[in-house]
Amino acid sequence: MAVGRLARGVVAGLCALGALAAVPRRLVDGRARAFFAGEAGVQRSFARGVAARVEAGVGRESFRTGSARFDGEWALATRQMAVLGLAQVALAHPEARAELGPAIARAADALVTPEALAFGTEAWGGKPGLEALEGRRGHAYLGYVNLALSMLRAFDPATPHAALSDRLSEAIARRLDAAPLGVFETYPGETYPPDVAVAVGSLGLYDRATGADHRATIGRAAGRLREHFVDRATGYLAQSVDARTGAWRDGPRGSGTAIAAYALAFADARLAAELGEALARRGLVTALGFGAVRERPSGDAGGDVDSGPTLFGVSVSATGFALASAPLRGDEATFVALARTAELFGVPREADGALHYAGGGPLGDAILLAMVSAGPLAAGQAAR
Amino acid sequence: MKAPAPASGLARAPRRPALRRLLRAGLATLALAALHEALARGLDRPDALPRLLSFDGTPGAWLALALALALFAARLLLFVAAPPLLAALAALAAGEALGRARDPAPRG
Repeated sequence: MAVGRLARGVVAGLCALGALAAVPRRLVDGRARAFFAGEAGVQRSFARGVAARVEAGVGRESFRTGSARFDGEWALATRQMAVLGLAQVALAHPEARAELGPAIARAADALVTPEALAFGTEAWGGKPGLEALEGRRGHAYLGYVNLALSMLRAFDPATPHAALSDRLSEAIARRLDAAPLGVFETYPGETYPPDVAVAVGSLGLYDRATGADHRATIGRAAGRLREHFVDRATGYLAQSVDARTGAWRDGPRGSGTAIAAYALAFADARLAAELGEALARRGLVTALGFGAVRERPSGDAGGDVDSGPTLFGVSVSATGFALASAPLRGDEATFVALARTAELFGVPREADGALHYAGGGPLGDAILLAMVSAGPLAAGQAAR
Repeated sequence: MKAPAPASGLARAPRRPALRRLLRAGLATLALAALHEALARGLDRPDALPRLLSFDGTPGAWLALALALALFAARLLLFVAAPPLLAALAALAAGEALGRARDPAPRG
């Protein structure tokens, strides 16, 4: 009798373990694999959700970080990521062009207004970055704007922002060439290699969209990033440095490394793959088929405005941005593990053919769309 | 001494505690799913997430935090904890049914 009870207990325990290993991941697998496969249905549904959020209006007042600069950065990032994600979906699925085109155009219009860039203007003492393009210094945050405008050029070569995209790309190329260590300031006294990597990526995408040739500038800049600011031990990218001396002010971080890997894929496939590989090798943490990425390769906890919330050393930003580089390396397992986590904690909601994530908000949704739809114009993309 | 009166068929039916536990757990899972849906609707309100991200200690912020924590706990229970629990209870109920089939209760 006791033996029978024990046997039943063992069988029940084995069933529980089997279910724990197999079922939770399956419950959130469908959309994760559909995103990896680039399926039109799920991508268009998510694009509709992001378009609705952006069309509803996003500005500084949409965020309450406690810092006017960060509120402005988040509003800019929301529009920029929306342009990237929506255009990537429209390029991958041309039948969605007409539906997504207006939202892309309006998000791009809102991206380059003085109000949208006021946070940078304030940081630079009142001089708007777009009115100081002849200079050779600063405003690296404009790399994010240029990445979106370059994607817009790929989507719509006749965009009214084409002239601005030309001038901005030339300004970024000049600043990259003028910087002794290949990096230039985002704000006075503040230099972030991930921002510079995005600027380099924007040049690569601009070349792909327009046929221009900045290969020499891109090659030099990517080489300097690799030489001075990629941590040799972990392969992560330094988050904050001194542009003049090259001294590191903040160590290697997953969020910066992952956004750099996404953007650099448009310019230097090798460096992008190296950064993505480092994230998978040193940063990826998995349990029960769910994955997340460490903000710091050491595993230390502690989050900030760049990382978003952190838990057990893994961060929301590093995990979300790393979604982009996995498919570029043909790494389905990593992508699906990360996407499962986004599904579990993002709280997806789908209604009337539009998907959004209750836990993401406008910024989280825009980033997630850009990351899960990365690919059509990315360099070195592996066949899916 | 008077012999006890034979019980009715229902009262004589052997108890099946494992099956009962499985049914209870199934009902609890359904209730949890309903609660999860209500919490998800709450977090999906336009003002909930901004309040959470800019936590300022006001009652609204605390409410948003409690809502988010309850929602994530419900999701973990529903997606991660419930499947192995239900599987274990189903295995126990199956074992119980097999045992009964092998050793049926005497017909009265």
